[in-house]
Amino acid sequence: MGVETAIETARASFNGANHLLEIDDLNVRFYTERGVVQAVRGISFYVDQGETIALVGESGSGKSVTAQAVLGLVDAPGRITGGEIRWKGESLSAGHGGWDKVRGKSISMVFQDPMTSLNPLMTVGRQIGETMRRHLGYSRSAARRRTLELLGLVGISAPGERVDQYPHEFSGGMRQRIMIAAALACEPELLIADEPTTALDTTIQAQILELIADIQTQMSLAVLLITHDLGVVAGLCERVAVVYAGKIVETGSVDNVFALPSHPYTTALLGSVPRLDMPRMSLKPIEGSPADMVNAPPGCPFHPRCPKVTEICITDEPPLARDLRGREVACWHADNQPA
Amino acid sequence: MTRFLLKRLRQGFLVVLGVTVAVFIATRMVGDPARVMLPLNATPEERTHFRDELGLNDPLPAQFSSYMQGLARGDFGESIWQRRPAIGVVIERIPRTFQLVFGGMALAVLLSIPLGLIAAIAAGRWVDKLTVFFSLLGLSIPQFWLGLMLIIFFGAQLGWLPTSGVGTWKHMILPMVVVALPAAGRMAMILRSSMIDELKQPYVRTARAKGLSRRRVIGTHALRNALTPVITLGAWELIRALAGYSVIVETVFAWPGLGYLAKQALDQHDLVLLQAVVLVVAVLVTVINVAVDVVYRAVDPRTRLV
Amino acid sequence: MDQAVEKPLVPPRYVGPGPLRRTARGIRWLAREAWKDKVGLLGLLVVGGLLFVAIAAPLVAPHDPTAQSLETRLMPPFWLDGGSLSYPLGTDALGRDILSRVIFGSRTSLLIGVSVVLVAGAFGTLIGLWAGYKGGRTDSVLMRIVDTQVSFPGLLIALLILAVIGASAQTVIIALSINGWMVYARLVRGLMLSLRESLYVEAAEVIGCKPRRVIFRHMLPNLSSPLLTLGILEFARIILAEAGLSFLGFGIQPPATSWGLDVSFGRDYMFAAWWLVAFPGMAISVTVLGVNLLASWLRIIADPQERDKRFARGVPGGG
Repeated sequence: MGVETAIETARASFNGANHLLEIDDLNVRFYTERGVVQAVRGISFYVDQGETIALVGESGSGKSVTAQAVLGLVDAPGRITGGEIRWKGESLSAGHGGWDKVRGKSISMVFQDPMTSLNPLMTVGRQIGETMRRHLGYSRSAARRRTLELLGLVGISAPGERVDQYPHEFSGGMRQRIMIAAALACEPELLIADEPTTALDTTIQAQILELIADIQTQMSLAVLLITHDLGVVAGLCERVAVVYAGKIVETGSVDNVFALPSHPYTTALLGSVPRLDMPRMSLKPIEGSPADMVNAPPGCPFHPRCPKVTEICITDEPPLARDLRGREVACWHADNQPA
Repeated sequence: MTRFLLKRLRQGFLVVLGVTVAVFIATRMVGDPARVMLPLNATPEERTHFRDELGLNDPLPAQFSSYMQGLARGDFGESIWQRRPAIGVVIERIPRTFQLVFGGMALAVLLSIPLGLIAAIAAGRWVDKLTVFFSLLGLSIPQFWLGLMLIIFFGAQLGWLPTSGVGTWKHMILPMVVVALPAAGRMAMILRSSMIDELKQPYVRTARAKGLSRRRVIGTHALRNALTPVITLGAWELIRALAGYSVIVETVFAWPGLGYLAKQALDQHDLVLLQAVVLVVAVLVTVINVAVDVVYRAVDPRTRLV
Repeated sequence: MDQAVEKPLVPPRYVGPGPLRRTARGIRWLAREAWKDKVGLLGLLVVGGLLFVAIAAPLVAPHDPTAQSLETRLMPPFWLDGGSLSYPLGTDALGRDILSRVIFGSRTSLLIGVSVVLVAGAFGTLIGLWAGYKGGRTDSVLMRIVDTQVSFPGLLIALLILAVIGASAQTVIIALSINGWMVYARLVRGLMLSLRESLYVEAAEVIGCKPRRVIFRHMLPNLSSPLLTLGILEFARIILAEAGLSFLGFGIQPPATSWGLDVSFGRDYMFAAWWLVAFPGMAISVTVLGVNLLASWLRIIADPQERDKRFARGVPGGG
């Protein structure tokens, strides 16, 4: 194992393909009374320096669990049951304390609900500053000075006054800006944004996304965006991975995947979103309900809801295979499959 | 802040007024004080004289107005048992009760916070189950019995501690333990459950994602939030101890505080004195309630908006 | 965000087949749950034991609890020198059998506990329903009364009442009910406020159900589980309160038996005959502990989140 990992790492660096973050065959299970929920079933992907990648899927598809697993934040009754998470070639998931070196420092995270993701009894200034005091050894006054800068950077006016206020004195959008400021405190290389705009008003959503995009170019930050909102993906990301029932069903460049979706689920997902460029297109909801993650059906996980379903879809599971345009799709009816 | 204080004081005044009226109803309308206070062999002349002296033959509204006027002047009547103003007898006893109640509550806090914290962190494991069991046991044992058993064991059998009364610091140990134990059990249980809830909150996940130490995530972020219900309960416990348990605990240990005074007044059929005790306790409870609200505002910034 | 989506359209409590089959199924389910959780089982056994002993007291008690005999006074428990198996827990200063007195004392605790819970619970629930359903001024006035009463020095007022009207089982029930109804009113009113918001109550009102029907048919059933838990917890508290009042001499009066009363009898002899104090007090402690264990177990099985957490712990390495 050790030797193999070493060889793998050596090969990766030789190829010059040492990704910033690599997820390899990740499996996460939740042990509940109703049975074992297989939330993530063998997801693999990577993030390179400075790029933006999106994980897209319905709620319950396993995308948020994947994001939490990257930082080792999966709580009981959930557990990472297989696979590896590597940061610059080094495993975070194997052994103890792997995450301690990166959490909040090289990788930071912004969560969905800015109302509850900030500690209600602590001033926002202290919540931003404590990360720097922990990881960079800043003094109280140095942390405060940097906090004021960060508040300005994320667009909070009058930072000098607001730094000593409590979260309930801010609006939802403002709180999300504060979350972002706290995430940027130690100048991380990767920002994981787990549905950062879902809990916000539409107008505020756009502002927050713009802020993330700005900061990304300023700080040459890689962003892993978790969302169910395809509109957000189109505006912000280079690559996208579509997640269904704990698996990636299609991945590739955003332009490719959105223009000509290959997997029926991606097609359906795109069909259920209003599009400004095709105002006359009618919206089609996806038939059926999301897959049962306790008793996953055999074959393709999407087959109970798929319009193109045939015999093989019910019996055999399609592998994720590269197609002619360089993207990967897991569907027997995509043009990449030998069948 | 001043407006808030005034509002709370006004509410507190209403409570005291309510107690005053309740006491009046209980003593004058429900029962016959003459029957309660005089010995069974009292002659009819003695009874008439007694009723005249206390103004019990006047119509009720007149009785009520003279009762309220007396209270407004700080005149609580003369203790029948002690033959001097009741209020003086009551005030003398306050320091002893405060010593017992505040000491006991401090002990309860010292016991309950580590217990509740350990139980919450180890939720579901045997440490947790043991803590829960002992907390439940602590709040299930009647205090008078616990007191007597401790007296039998530590006072009589082992001879380590005095069995009753006041004097040295040794006299304080057993009564304080008895006051503290049920409160500590309840506070540990509340802290445990609120801590389990807080540890599930998104802000705790945020703190972990920031790479903060486990100690800081639990001790600073989650614990401060989990303590707010404990403060509420602690205030309630303080009030219960002052206005209730002190009667039992002080009686068991012959501890000369307000509670023991209430029991003595009852035994002496001295309703005037008992009434004074009840009213003074109501005032103390009100003052504590206001103080707790002030503490609460200092702890939780969200309440400052109101 | 559309908040309406969150509201349940169907009452959360599932009302399925007829009452008899439902009860049978409920009992089987409870038995299974109790077997899984040994602490809950212990609570259930203690409470079951209390019920049995209280009902069958004349059959299980070896002696008449009031029968005095001066030859056998202050006998120690059977395992000590001078003890006898015919008085397993010894005798008191009047030669009465302690075991029999403990057995008969359970009747008092049960009677007072159940009565106070029923009286205070019914009154408090009604007030809470009224305040929660009406809302507005009615609600704020009623809740102000509740708040005021909660801040009362409860036990002292109870003592005052008992001193004036004279202590007996009935007056103890009255005094403790006056002290105890507020918690129910608060709980019910709080739950009502959240229930009023749910769609099925709105639906019932839209189709023209009368207020009384909406309250009693649609809302009250959803309150039964929290009310039951509160009632059980209050039962434990009332047993302690009755024992305390009786210990002080302002509760149950002789010749009636009560555990608290027996402890106070034994107090005069406690250095010479500790068993007079020890056994009745132990009976109170075990009973109250059992009731508390039962209540905390019921709360866990009624809460799906708690159940999941407990299950997850059974998985090796999970956590």
